[in-house]
Amino acid sequence: MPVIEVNGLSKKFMLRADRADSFSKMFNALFRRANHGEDREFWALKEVSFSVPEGKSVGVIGVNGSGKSTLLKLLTGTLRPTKGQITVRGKRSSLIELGAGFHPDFSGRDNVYLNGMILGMSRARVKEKFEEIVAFAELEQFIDVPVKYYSSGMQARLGFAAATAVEPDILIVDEVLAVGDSSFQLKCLSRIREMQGRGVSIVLVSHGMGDIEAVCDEVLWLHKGEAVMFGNTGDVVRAYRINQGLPLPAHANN
Amino acid sequence: MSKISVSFVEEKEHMRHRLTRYCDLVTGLALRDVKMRYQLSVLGLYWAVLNPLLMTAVWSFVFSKIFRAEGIKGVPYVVFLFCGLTFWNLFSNSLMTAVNCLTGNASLLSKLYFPRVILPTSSVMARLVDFAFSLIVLAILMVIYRVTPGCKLYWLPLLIVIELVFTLGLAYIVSAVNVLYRDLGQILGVLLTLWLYISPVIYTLEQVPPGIKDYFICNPVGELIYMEVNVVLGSGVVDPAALGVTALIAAGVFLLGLLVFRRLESAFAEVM
Repeated sequence: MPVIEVNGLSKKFMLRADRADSFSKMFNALFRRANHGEDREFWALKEVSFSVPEGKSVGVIGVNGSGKSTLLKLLTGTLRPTKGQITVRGKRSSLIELGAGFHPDFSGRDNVYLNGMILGMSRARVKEKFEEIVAFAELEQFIDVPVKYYSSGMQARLGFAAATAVEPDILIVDEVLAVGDSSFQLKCLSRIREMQGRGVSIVLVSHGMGDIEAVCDEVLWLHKGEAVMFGNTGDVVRAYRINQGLPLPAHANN
Repeated sequence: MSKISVSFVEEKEHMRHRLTRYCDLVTGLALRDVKMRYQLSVLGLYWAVLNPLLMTAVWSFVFSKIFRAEGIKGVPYVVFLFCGLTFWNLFSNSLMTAVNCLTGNASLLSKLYFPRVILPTSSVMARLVDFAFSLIVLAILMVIYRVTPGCKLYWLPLLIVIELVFTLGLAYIVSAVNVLYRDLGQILGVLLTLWLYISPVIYTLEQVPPGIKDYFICNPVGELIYMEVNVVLGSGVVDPAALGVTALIAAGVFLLGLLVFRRLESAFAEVM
């Protein structure tokens, strides 16, 4: 049974020129008959379908504004679809943004606890995992320093360590690998590999075709909210590279 | 065609385990709230005590010395007022914090998924910390002014629970509505001030003229504060009928709050 099934998924946003954001605007709207600016619809995703088989990993690629992040937010549950079906089987953990949910004024320690609990661990579980998280992030010396003094690389390490400590069945990652230095990227990749070895499915959004090729079995290519192609990583990445005018790696020419 | 379904099938988690997780999260967020409020001020948590004390000092001067207000017979007005304000502040401060709990956590809401209702719940729970400090000060004041506590003090925990249930229900409503209409955050302070004056905090229910008094049952917070203050300082007679009605209203508001929150919840991530 697939861990993720997405069927005819569509998401509409209203771009309202004249949204009544407040009572005062609402009153104004009542007295001004004329309709300034019509509500415009914007379909961030249109009839997207794909599935992720158990233990397999899927990459999502596409230029900016193609709907990648909207798709991830729908998968994590922060957004509700306008149309279509989503079925996710298994425990999810996500890393949508660098240090998402971290509070700058609090120490790394406080943030790890709170983030862990938001991601679905009990306090006791975070405590068990704490040493491991800190060790992975290599922040032993700085764990009691407020997060606002962390470099972006330090935040990325801590966020990644916390999100993966949840031991999910499905890990949803948005363009995080691009942040740290190369040694951190390698470390993340090897953590992802190790999780894949345990049967965890990864959904990875990335502009780095190298990461996609290294992690994903299949790739979904989105453009303006529509699925251009869904299939095996080699084929989709190759087509995308040609489309984008990116150089093909030497081995792909064979 | 236009069928929408979202299902997140997770491994069957033991109900008790899930509850522990959510309780942990509520506590964690509440403690963060408390820390955040006090960590950058020199006096820190002392403010939890100083604030109501200062307010009581000013008000008791104005009301008892100038307006000649009286509280419960045989209880110094300062103690009476501080007691009422302690219970009032639990309600009022909870709502003032809750109204911004979703809008203030926009980044959290758009990036991570967890049951949203946890946020307003935790902002109400955070106020329990201030409330506890306030109770301690109340006890100290009672010792200083030699006020003997009422003999029906055992009613107090139940009354506080009912007050919390009512407060939570309203907190769900104001937090959710404030996401869509930020005006609520502006008007809430005024509404609460008004509410304070129609509640028996600076006066007792006995001083209210009979014609108006009948309407006071419609104000569950006033009713609760009246009972709480009486249980702590006065004769401590709890009218079971009034208590029953108030408890029912509180439960109703709680359920309504959850309902409203559910309805508006799906719009949160899009608006913020």
